Parts: sequence; C-alpha cells; structure tokens
Amino acid sequence: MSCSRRDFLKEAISTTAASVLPLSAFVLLSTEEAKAAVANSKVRYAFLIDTNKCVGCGMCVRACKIENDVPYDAPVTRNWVERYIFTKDGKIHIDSPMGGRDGFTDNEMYGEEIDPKDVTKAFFVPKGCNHCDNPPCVQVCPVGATYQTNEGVVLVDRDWCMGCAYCIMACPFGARYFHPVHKVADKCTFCYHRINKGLQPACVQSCAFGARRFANLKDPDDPVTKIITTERVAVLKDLYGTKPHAFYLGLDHDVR
Amino acid sequence: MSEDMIVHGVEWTVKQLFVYPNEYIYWSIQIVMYPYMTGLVAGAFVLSSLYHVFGQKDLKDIAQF
Repeated sequence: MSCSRRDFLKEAISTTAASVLPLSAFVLLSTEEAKAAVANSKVRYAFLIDTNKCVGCGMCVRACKIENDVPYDAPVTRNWVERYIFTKDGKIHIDSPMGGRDGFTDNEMYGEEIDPKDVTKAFFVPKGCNHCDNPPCVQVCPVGATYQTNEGVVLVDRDWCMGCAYCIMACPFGARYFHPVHKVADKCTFCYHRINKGLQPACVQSCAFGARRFANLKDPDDPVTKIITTERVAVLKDLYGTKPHAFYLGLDHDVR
Repeated sequence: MSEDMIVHGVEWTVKQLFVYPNEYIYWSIQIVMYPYMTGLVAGAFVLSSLYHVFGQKDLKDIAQF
C-alpha cells in the first residue's frame, strides 16, 4: 500500500474535521451557568405525612394504582401503607399485604393471629418515594434514564431505561419496582402530570383523613410548608444521607 | 392473575423475610456467577501464559486446554 504525502495530509485533515465537527453540537457551560440552570426553581415539592391520622384504609394505594396505570393485581405499588403492631412480649409485627391496597381488616399477620389484648401499641405508616435531594437511584443509573427535575421530583425516562434494576436495589426505601408491563423501573412521579396543572397528587387528594399532604417548600405561605418548618418532623432513614423530602409527623423510632 | 402481571422475582423471593411490599430479589444467581467466571478466566489466562509466554514447560498440559 502506497500513500503519498499529499494523500496522507488530505486524509488526516478530513478525518480530523469529521471528528471535531460533531462536537460543535454540544454547548459547554461554565460551572456557574450549570448551577443556575438547575438551582433557580421556585418550587421544591415535598410530602408531609401525619402517621397519627392514617387509619390504614388503603385509599391512597388504590388511587395511585388507578391514576398511574400500575397493574392493579400485581404485587407492586408506587406507594403503600405499613401496619406496625407492638405486642406485650416485646415483639414488633410489621406487614403490608399487597401494599395495604385492600385495607387492614383482620388480626392475622403472616399466618399468625394477634390477640388484641396483647397489643401495646399499633399504628399505620404510609410510605412511598421520598424524592430525596441526594437520590442514590439517580447516582447508580448506568444510562442516565432516571433524573431529578428542577422541582426536586425524581423521574424515570421509560424510553432510556433498559431495565437493569440497579436503581431498584439502590433505593434504601424500597420505593422502586420493576414494571411488569413496560419492563422498566417504575416509581412514584409525585403525579407529575397532575401537579403541573395545579392539582394535588392522587394519593393526597384521595386521603380522606389528611394523613398524606403535599407542600411546596420554596413557598413560605404554603400552609403545609408552615407545618414542616415550625413543627417537629422526622424523615425515614436519615443516616443514609439521601436527604428525603417526605416529612413525617409522629414517626415512631422503630419504624424502618 | 394474567401473564403480564407476573413480577420479576416473585417466584424465588421469600416475602416473609422482607418488610417492604416492592422488595424482590431482582439480581439472582447470575450476579454471583459473573465474578466467579471472571476469576476462573483470569486465572486460566495467567496459568496458560506461564507456558506460552514464559516457557514454564511443566505447565504444558494445562496450558493447552
């Protein structure tokens, strides 16, 4: 194979041009510009969950499944309610059959009958995605299909997600699941299609007791934000450092 | 329950051991096999190269598998 100097230079110049030209499609941002693009949002959504008010009816779970096309009879949910029962022998019984979708109507937990006389305290804890400020599920996604919006909502792009389930295992709250129909990771979207129109998320609107509430933390006049900022609230699994944005009133220290 | 309602991991997850309703074992035996196979392949490569590259004659039998 022969190659004159003229041919070599021609090839080299065209190859360099072909590899550099597509780079001009990218816009390079300075650090300040990149920070400003994501930080100047006027909204930061958060949940306020009052465990004292929850009666375990499971209405939020049913509403979420119907609103967001989660398969109704599949054993996965975007949000769920857990039942905690403390008995006199010092044991803690926790269950959430079908995510508490059908309510809690009998005393049986995992085949064990709990006598109401043995119960020292019992309560329900509604749970779901915490829409963390530092979300581990976003960090581990190998294809960048899951991301956090300006409003702090963590979403999944179903077209990009390849279903590796890494994020499902990364979430310490068990908030994600593998969607049986779309075959991708799926999670609570804060009902993004509803809150953008000024509506409330489906679980918040369907809760008859005001146990699940919804706040914009950047708005100081929001009545729910006032509760979060002035009352004693707790978050789940604070030690994980994910900065969860679902705040709980009356959270027991044994809830995990 | 119809065919498309089957959630990956339901068959082999003992739900009594988990609290959260969404928790299933998604990565199962294959995530264990991956580093195991990688180790076997890397070890075989080192052994094989001891004969082919470095001339360790007594490893001829296993170097040519």
